[in-house]
Amino acid sequence: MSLLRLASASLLNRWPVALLTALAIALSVTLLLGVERIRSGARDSFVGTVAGTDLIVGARGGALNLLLYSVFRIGNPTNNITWASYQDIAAHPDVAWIVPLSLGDSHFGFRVLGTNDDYFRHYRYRDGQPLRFAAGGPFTDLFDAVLGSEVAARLGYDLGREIVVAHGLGREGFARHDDKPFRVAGILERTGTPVDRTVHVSLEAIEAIHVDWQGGAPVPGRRVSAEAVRAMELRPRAVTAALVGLQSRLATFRVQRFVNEYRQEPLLAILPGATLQELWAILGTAEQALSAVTVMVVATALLGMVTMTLASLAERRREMAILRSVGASPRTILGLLTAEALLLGLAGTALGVLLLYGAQLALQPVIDSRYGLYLAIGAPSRRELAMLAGVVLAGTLAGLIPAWRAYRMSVADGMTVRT
Amino acid sequence: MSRHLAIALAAVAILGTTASADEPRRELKAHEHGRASLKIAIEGDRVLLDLESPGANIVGFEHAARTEEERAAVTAALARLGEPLGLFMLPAEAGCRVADAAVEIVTEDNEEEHADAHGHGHDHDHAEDVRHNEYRAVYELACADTGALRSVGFAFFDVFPATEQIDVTVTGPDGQSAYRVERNAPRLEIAGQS
Repeated sequence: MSLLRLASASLLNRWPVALLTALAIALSVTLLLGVERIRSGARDSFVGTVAGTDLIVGARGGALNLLLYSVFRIGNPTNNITWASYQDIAAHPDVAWIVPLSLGDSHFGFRVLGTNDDYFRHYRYRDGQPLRFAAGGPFTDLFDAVLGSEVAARLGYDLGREIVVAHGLGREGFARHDDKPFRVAGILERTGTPVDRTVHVSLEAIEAIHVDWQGGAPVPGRRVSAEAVRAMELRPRAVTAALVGLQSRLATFRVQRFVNEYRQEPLLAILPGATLQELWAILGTAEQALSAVTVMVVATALLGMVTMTLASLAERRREMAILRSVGASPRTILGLLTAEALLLGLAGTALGVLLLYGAQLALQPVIDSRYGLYLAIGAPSRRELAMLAGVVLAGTLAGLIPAWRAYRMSVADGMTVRT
Repeated sequence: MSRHLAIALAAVAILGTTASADEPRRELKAHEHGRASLKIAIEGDRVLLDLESPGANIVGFEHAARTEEERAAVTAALARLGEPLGLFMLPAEAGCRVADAAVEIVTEDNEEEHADAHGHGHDHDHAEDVRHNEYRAVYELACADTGALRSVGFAFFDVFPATEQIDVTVTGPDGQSAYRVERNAPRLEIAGQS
């Protein structure tokens, strides 16, 4: 114990250097943990987005591609599913619910998703939470729209506001469905998923706004008014993809096979959670590279500490000699320097954790709204604690290098320093 | 041959060239020797295992068994496949027993035979033995405690030495996950979803 007191007193005596060294370790620890948190946070938010869906059905193509465009609105669908096939799947006895997803239009850069009320009933995110309305409710009229929280917040929309949907993804939209405006009927609560950045309308409405269009543009002289379109029978021709929930998980592979071997149309059914892991397998290499960089940064900081201690040994020879003269053995000298490394490591790690939490508190809202990445602020995970312990341990071991040198010097010098 | 029948046949021939519904579906599933897939679904006290493997992994050939030896090999393989707990070792605490096991051999290109039957001229130099076939087995297990299903040992690799890797998909109360199990590490730890 007295060794640790001695070590801390010795560090305090050289506090500017010690502080800078601890700060270097702290920054490296912040980086190490920060990268780990972003990594696990990204995984959790991706996994949380597909909770509760047994299968996703889309046109035949890559499994990953289907997952990305249907749930995360990344990339583009290769093909649509015809309405007849959609209904065949919906009629399968093992299917408990099916939610259609129809993509293709946008509103000020936010995707417009055609779906039905079942979407609000069956969609689940993080830990099986259902979607909740912050205001209003699901569709009651053909031209009702339900906004994700971020759409409403960013564009400053309230209930009842009229909005115009653009055809395709054009920001200002040279092709706009301005003859058939929508009314904001509901605004969803924040979910931390792509739902927040989506404008939801009914499948029939998607059909309705395209009823007088052909080849991606309105047909001149053939305008069908919003009133007239209400009287029409609006049967969707196709959907982009569908989320499927099953009566029992045991039926998962039976239904998957049914869809994959569906004769009339080449379709693909994927297990979203399993497909997501394929994505991690691909990203794993990049993650490892990133982790390797952070580990190198920690190593650099510890190397700095060793350099600092080694450099100070020459000027501390007198200090060592005095210690020897008051009865300290060369072993005590070894212990003292190792204890100093341990203390520096501990102080640096603690400071690093403090910095991390400070940075997270300050940056969380920005990361959340900018990147849609929700990083939970919680106690360090077991993995993180292990990493922290690893840093302290590595620091202490690295401290053995100057400690060993000091030991040798103090044996050689004895109680007098000859210069 | 009566004239009526001749006309009818001619009509079929003409229709056959235009109506795509009559055409055999041309589609081949990916098929890679050495690789098999195992899908596991867990719900309540039930576990469903769905195994698919090219015949090459199981018996070493994929044509219909012709010699006595080949027939014996198929019979032996079917018997081994009928005992899933000897292929996939589940933890004893789970207390699983086989409630149902169904094994079948699927030949992939029955549509070619279909085409032959219609007498369309086609010049495939496909001999019978270049066809692929697959062994498919669906097992239903009843387990005392499915929560104890945290690992699977793959004796499958020892029983069927031509198998190199198995792609495993799991869907259960903890979510869905996917793994790849290889011959040199024939064991799977089922983690939660992450």
